[in-house]
Amino acid sequence: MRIRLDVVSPGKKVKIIMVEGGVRCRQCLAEMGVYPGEMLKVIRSAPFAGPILVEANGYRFILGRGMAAKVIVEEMD
Amino acid sequence: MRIVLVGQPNCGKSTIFNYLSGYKAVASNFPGTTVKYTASKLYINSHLCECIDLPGTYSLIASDAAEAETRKFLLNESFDTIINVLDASLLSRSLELTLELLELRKPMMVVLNMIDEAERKGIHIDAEHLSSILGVPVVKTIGYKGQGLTEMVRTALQVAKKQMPSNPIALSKDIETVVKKLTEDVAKVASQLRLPARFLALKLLQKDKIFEERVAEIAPELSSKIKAAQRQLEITHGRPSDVVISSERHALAMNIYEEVVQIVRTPHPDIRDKIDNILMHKFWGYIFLALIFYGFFTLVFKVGSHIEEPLMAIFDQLLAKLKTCLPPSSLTYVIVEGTIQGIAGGIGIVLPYLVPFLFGLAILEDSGYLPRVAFLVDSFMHHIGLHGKSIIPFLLGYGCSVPAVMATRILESERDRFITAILATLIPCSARTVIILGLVSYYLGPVYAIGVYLLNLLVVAIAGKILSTIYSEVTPGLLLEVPTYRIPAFKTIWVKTWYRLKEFVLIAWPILIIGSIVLGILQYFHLDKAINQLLSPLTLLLGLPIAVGTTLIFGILRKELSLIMLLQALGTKKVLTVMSKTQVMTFTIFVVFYIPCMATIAALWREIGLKKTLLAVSFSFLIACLLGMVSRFLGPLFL
Repeated sequence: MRIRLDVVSPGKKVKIIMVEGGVRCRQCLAEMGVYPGEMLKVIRSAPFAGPILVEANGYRFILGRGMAAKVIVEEMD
Repeated sequence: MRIVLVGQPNCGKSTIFNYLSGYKAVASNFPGTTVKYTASKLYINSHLCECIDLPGTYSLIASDAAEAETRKFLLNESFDTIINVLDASLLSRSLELTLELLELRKPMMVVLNMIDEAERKGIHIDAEHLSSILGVPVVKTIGYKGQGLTEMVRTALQVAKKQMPSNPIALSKDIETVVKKLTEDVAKVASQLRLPARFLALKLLQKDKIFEERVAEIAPELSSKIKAAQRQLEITHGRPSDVVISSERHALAMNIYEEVVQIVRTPHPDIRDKIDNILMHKFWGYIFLALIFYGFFTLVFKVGSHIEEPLMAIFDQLLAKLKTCLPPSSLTYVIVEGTIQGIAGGIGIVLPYLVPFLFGLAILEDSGYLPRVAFLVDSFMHHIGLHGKSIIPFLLGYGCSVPAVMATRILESERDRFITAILATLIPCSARTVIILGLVSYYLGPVYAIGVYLLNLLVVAIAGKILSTIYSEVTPGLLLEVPTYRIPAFKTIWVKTWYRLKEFVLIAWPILIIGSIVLGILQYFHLDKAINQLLSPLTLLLGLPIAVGTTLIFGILRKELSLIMLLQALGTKKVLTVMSKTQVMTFTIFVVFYIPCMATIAALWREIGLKKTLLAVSFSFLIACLLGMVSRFLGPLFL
């Protein structure tokens, strides 16, 4: 099922299907390794609709809700 | 000879640079410490080398002002060798920048730094194989230990001597065909822009705004060809052409990674990841955030006050002795007294607080905690129209406003940079901390000092809300790498503290002593009265003694001068005998918020332009007057 990355609950692994948003947003995300086909793991989310902490390929980064909402993913088992 | 260090943020460039140049750059454990490049001259095997440490960049597409600095340098300046520093534990991602750098066709070498961290993760890298794939020398190092750096320097010299340009690695066939065709088309423009043609073609396919505009300016006839090439990639791959190119580079980096890396074992579960379960927790995270900063400031105050009192006693004795040696009404006495008070101000008041403060801040920076703070406060920052990354300039602002203003370069949008810069100057820097601790905490009690800090936060939040409503534009959102925790190395911490302290000792202290003498002379000739008279509308408005007028002028030169000058202007160290508690509070609040110091104004001017700087200055003055009056009228009720 395709969902947006900002609603994925912590601990879940996801596969990136598509990155929406403008060229700049796509490029910023690409620099962090957010490409279609790649896997991500959501580690935790900050309260008060704060950002999420994501793990990709051995490193972690913080992703604001707004940006996370632009990443379409599929949950893996 | 000129050598440049290029790499992704937090890969250890500054640590290597420091090792080479004997500590000049400020390295930290958070991405984006170097926002401006640092150059250093050094002798290697009797060759004079200029070594340049560029801000970290994830790619050669600039998304913030610090990254733009790196790209501008690489494309416009001349140099002999690129040293591309990679975090070996993040090899596949780091290689993406390397692939882009190869497109520049400059002599280059690759440094696999933090190789110990990679081994810990169970990653073994075949450096020779990597070197043969990339066509450039590869050296393994552990920057903070200095391991492999001699080898690195030796190799860099060889590379510089040979002057062999690097060769780009071919992409998959169908993409390569499109790239080659466009490379031919833009060859002429590229030579006009003094860029490698293939590099330009790739950037155009990646829809890089800056290059698109430049090409459209000189060769508008190419626009249809560029569009056609972009469209061709989009049709064949079903994705925007920028994604096609970056995914291709990503895939290429992954392939190289898989070829040269051997996973010898699964990584040990790391205790450091467990720390985040607490420090980034949705409840405990905030508790620890508050505790860490509370602990930090009380420790600074405790250490400071223990040192301050005995030191000040010595100077008091000295001044008492002076009165018996020289006639107090002579000009000589006034000058000697001014000198002693200036020196005393530095040693007795500023240094005891400044040293532990800067030391503690350096520990916080190097431990890697600050990006976690960005995570915790992001949603609050959105309320004032910014995002979590702005917290880093704010926190640096507690040290000094100048690096804080410069750190705004890590932000992506100009609007965020401008708002963050103005707000960061409102944060009490270490000089203003000295005033808060030296006046409010000392005379009214630590609780009131904490009150001033809380008031400050409230004001920053309201000011942020006002500014972001005036400049209503959506902030691009937070994207920040979270480094692994590191135990700060004592040497780097100490050097960093010293580096920042030097600024005070070499610049502020002499001004402090001269200012103190000047004030003495002004008083001797009764000229201070004229200045005080001139400023009396302001001091009367705030309900302060007229004598403090001159100190406010000195405070614009350096903030800490206000406090020391205050003691001198009042002619006593026992402030409460001549000022009421309310006046002490009003004075402190006014000084904390009014006009940033000269150095900060200069930094603001450089970063956000003259017009906005003037706006910031008047904005802060307005806030200070307003709060000063509130304190004047509410003070008697509480103090």
